[in-house]
Amino acid sequence: MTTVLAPVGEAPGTARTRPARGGRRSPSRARWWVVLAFLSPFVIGFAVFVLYPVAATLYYSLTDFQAGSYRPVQFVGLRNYRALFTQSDTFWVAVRNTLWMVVVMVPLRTGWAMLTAWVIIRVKRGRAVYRTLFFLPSMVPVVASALSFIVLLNPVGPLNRLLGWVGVDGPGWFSDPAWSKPSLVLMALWASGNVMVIFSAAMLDVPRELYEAAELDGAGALQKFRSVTLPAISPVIFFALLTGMIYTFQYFTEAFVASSSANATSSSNDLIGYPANSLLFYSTELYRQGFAYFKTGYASAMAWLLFLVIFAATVVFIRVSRRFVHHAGGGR
Amino acid sequence: MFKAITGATAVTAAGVLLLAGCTSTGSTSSQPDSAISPGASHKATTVTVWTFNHLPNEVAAFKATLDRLHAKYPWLTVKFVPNKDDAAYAKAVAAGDPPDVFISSTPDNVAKFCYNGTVTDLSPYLSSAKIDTAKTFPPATLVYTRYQSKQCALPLLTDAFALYYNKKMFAAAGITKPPTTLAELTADAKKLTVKNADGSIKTYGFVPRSDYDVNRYLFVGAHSGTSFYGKDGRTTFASDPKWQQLLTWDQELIDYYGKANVQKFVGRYQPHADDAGNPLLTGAAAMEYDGEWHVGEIATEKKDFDYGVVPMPVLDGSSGTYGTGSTLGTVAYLSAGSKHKQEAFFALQQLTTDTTFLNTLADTVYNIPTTFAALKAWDKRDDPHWKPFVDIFENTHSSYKAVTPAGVEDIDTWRAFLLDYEQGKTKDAASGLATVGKKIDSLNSESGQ
Repeated sequence: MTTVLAPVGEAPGTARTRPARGGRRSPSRARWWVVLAFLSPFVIGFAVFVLYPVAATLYYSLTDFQAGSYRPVQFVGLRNYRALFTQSDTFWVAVRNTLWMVVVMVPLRTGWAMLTAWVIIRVKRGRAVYRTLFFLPSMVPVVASALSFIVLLNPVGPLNRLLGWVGVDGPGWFSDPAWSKPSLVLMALWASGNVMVIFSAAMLDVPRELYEAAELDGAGALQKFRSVTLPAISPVIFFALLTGMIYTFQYFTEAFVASSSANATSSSNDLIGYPANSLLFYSTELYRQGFAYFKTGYASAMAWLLFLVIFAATVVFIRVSRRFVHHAGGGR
Repeated sequence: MFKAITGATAVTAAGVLLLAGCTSTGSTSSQPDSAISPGASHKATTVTVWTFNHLPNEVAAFKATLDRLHAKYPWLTVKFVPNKDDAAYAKAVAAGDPPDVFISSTPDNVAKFCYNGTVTDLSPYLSSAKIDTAKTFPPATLVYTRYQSKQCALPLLTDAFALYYNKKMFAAAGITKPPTTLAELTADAKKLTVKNADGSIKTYGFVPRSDYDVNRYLFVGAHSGTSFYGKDGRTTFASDPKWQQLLTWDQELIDYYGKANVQKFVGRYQPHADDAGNPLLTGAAAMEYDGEWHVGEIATEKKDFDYGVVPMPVLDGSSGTYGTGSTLGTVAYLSAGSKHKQEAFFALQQLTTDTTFLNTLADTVYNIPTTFAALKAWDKRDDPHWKPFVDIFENTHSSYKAVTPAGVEDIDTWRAFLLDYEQGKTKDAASGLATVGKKIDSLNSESGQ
């Protein structure tokens, strides 16, 4: 059966005739203007706050524009894009650090959220309390949680004192280049409650009969998890990995706060990437180029490159995910 | 509908691209005909002053001065806005609404702002106000407030850096006088180093790593008898062997303590460089390179602490430079986009040359006043802890590196190299110095130097 949808304002089956030129405006067109008028706040907002900045950065990325400069802006073509790859050492440091976080932090955070969800749904008493406790950190503002971790992981802070009591010489955490990124990963695990809740809901949604069938086939807990739970929650795993990857490519606030709080002596510009550029991520480098060096054109090129990389990575990830994501109804 | 939306979008996009090309409208081009006569009547004017200062006592000192200024010149009202950095200033300029006067914590962007036309060349205003910069401001301040022949900013308090040492520890180690050369510093540092029973280090003599506290200013030339930039405006890293000697000294002392121990020290004390947990105050270090503000901090945190301050030792073979040091400080700009430059300059002139204000603010933020007159009148100039800083500041050979249109990027590149070298990522000092020199020269030429 085919359903033909009539345009707004017309009854199904009404004959449509073209109005004569210069004739009275048709009711449907007048209705479109009403629709447009209602849409205009969004359209204007979208144009001013999204379209304009996006188009402006594309334009700036092809120029030598510097914020605050009165010099005439010169069109430089793709020079800023070439400079990214050929002239900057810190660009590659930032790329390496960002990729490290994408490869290490995203899977760990997803795995940790999955594990905590799996444990929590097995708790017989006080499940809601545990779920709330695990979820709460994700409600703490990022800046506040970063500052809390700075205090907790201070070289002479509570955790290192605790480690000292058991004879372990705690590391410098946020002040040691070797430990700074793992410290951020720890913070991400602590604040993974929002992902845990989604995993928890997905796990509770797995049909009971599937587990019963698996049990009848003699499957143990691990086999049930591998063969029943994992396929059933694979869309959630996909979601967590994809959103985590996109977020981590743009990772900024945690690193910026951690760097600035661990280094109390320097001016704002010196704080980026501390210690020893180990926390210099793509977005923090973009910030430095744009707001410390005022190289707006160059920073805009970085922003566009980041957009393209995230877009490409998302497309690739969606394609690859078809192999492991099981959708309800038996399809993949 | 779709056509209507796509049409509107296309028009918007075209407008957007047009607008994107339109940034700030440019500077206003009023040149001073004659200076504002303080005694004459004048049309009521409000000028906006932005500053990086944000602490309550700093803001109070500013406000008190500005109130005094308003009482003295009722036609002049200053709208004072604290807590603004260079990024906020550049954004305001780009938006076409800059403050009339901007006070920045660092001189690093002086040449960049000057080259980009962001700020006004003050030379004609100074001439019309009959202010001779050479007779008003110590020469060290003119190095970092001038670019080419333009006076791009005026100094407003400054920092100087020197060696702090624990007198009791020196006496206990049998050291009778503070070191004057880096070789002596190393020898003393070793004598002052105390180890725990388990071999760990209880007290470090001196930790030189470039990213610790303000050690970065050890490596800009004043203490090695070198100049960051030569007369041709290019770096001297490859041509002046003293840079390599300086790096060797740094590496030897780091190796003496061990990289891991130094890392632990830096990580442990970096967050506490300016508070009661400072290693000099806690006894974890016997010597420390620091700015003059530390004198004020010590007076607040540990009044009875027995310490001395001397100029930072210099590289062996360049002992003629002993007594000099790195100096750099706060700078005040007159925006090129200011709509009342004459009045704004008058306010800026008061803030940068008024002796009472400079000395009050210096006492408040523990900095050094920046005019000869204010220095002469300053009651701290003969204090044994402050005097070395004043002497360093007034030394005609003291300076910061020359500022360039690359802004802070040149010194950031240098610091990244220093860290790579100290961490062993750059093995060969000579080739590393040549490479980083080329990079910085390239940055400068791209920036318009």
